[in-house]
Amino acid sequence: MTFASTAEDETVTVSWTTGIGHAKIWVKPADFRAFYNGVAERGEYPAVWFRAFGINNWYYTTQLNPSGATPIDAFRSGYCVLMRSLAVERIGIKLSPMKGKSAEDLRKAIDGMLELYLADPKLNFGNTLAIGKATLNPAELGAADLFAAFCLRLCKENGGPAFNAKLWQEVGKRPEAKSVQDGIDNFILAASAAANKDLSDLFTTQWRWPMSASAIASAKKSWGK
Amino acid sequence: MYHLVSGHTPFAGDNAMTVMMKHVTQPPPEIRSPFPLCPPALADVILKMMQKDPPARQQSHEEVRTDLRRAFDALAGSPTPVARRPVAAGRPAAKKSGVPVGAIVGGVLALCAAVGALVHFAPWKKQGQLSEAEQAANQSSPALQRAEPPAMTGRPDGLKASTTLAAATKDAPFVNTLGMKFVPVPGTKVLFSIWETRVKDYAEYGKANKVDDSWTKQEKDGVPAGHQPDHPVCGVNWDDANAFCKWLTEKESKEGRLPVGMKYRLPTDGEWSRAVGLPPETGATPADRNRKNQVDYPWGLEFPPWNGKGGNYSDSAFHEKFPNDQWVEGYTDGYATTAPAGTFAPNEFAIYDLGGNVREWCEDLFNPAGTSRVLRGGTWSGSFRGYLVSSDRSNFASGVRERGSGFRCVLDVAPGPEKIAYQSKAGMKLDRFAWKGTRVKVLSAAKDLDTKVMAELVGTLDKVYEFFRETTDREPAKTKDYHDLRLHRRG
Repeated sequence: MTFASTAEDETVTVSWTTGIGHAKIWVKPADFRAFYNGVAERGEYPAVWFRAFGINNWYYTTQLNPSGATPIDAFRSGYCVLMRSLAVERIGIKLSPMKGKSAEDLRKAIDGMLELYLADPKLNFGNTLAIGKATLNPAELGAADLFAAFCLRLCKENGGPAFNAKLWQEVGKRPEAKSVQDGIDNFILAASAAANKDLSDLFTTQWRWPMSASAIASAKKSWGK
Repeated sequence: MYHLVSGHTPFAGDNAMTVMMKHVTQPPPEIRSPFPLCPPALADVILKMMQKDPPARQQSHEEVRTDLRRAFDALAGSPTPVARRPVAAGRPAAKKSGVPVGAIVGGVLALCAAVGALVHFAPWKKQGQLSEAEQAANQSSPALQRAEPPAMTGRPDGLKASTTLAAATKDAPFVNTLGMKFVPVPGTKVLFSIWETRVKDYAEYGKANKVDDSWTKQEKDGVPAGHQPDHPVCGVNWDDANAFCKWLTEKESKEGRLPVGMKYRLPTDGEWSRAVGLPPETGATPADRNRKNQVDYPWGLEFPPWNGKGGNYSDSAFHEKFPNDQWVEGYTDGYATTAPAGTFAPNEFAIYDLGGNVREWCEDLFNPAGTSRVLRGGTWSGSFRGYLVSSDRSNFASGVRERGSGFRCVLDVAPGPEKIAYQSKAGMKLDRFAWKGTRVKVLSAAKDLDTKVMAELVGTLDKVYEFFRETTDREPAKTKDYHDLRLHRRG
């Protein structure tokens, strides 16, 4: 199986089998050799590692994707892109080119996606992240990258990686989502908790995410001025 | 070299400029002028090395080495150039040549050996530039031992048998429960079976296990191959050979005949090269090293080998049975297909049939990015000169059984624990386990990986792991979302 859902998977082909209770990813020797050679010859690390790390460290299905509903894959895949971006910055490593673009150009493209989204008033959560689509963009990035762009903006405005850690730890504390809306509410409330301020207006008015009335009330009660 | 041999520099002058100009403008002097006792053959080599026109000189250190060996032959008056190759009982003694010998010849012989060794080991390379394999070889290279002909005299049946592994020598090999004999090979940490695994050895395995019976049916055009008990078994694949080694290890361990931890296995490509006496090879993989050395044959340097002395190849007996096949014209070993193990002369380590009879499976992948395995040594049907050099490698998928393929066991006396090339802070070992949530399993295909690169790679992944752990404040393995990333050599 070839991963093709997001940019970070583009460079390799991995075989995929499902085990009991968890999935296994087998990396073929030739792929490993390519990874190794990238490190040995160019000091570049393959993005697929970060995909694997992201999946291995994804604990938030319960809070963000209710069982029985169509999952919003952009949450999990976007988490992988987000964590890849932050890890690369934190550790100071160089990623292998993806989709014919250098890692730097790709990061700029991800950041630029939010601007494209905000510039088009017809776009909202329902016709992008909810259905796995992103706005048209030159780099042909997808919904995962758009979700990562939202998160990166949150990090930028609220304290960087420290905020990011708080964000996901707060997501982990949220109750089980019984509906898609519950999942979205959980994320916005977790972000508000991590930032220690009411972000409901940012999400609903500026970013055009749906939020339940009860969640808005909860945010205003907890962090409103 | 001119200076070393003659005691004079080629050009003299009052000052450096004069000497330099002579080097530029004057033809190289004949070394026999200042030093008439220099044998002509050696003088020719030196003169060729000093030619003004670069194409007129030797073009590689290999070529220099070959020329020196020829000069060495001329001095010794023997058509067989080096003593590190098989020396059979009853081999004709070296004839005396017309060249005045005595002290000067002894000195020149020593000089040839010294120069050969110098050229051989590329003294211009700093030690740090040598590969680990090259450095290991330099510790105990068979090439450095060529001045000491092997003491073997005849078949090893009459040899003393060593009762302990540690005491095994080529004169007193270790003998296992099947009667297989094992001798040390300098530069390795294993004992080599002196014979290719014989039919009677494999038959014992066949009695104790349900095994594929292809090995009992090998033939060519109705002529049987590998059917006699003392012939090498053939028609076994890589998996069969490994299964044999595993069975023998378990059997002898259970019987208390093999110390705990020691095991039988196939030789690595590098170990096989040591055993056949190849000089250090260049190239990171067996594929890279394949046929690079076109000089050394298992029997020596000349082609074809002496009749009956080189090993079991496609000789006149083969030609008689299979007239439509290619053969080594003029060569006679007496066997159309397989020959009894130990029929031909052993090499300097007392090992038989490294060339000819059957090609031998080795442990390594031919190319780490592929799946086929290495086989070394020619076969009873081998004839093409380029395939008979010691550096030749065949490669077949591990499941291929064919009549020319057999194997030889080595006894790994110090395998120790699995080699751990790097131990990460987060508890990751290169070979086996990785992080708490993410496993990286690099199997034998990764043997050629550079430890420094892997340390960097794994160290970086460790940091990524720590970053995730700090962010999530979770231990990945404890969750139901646990995933397992492995690097596996079979996709």
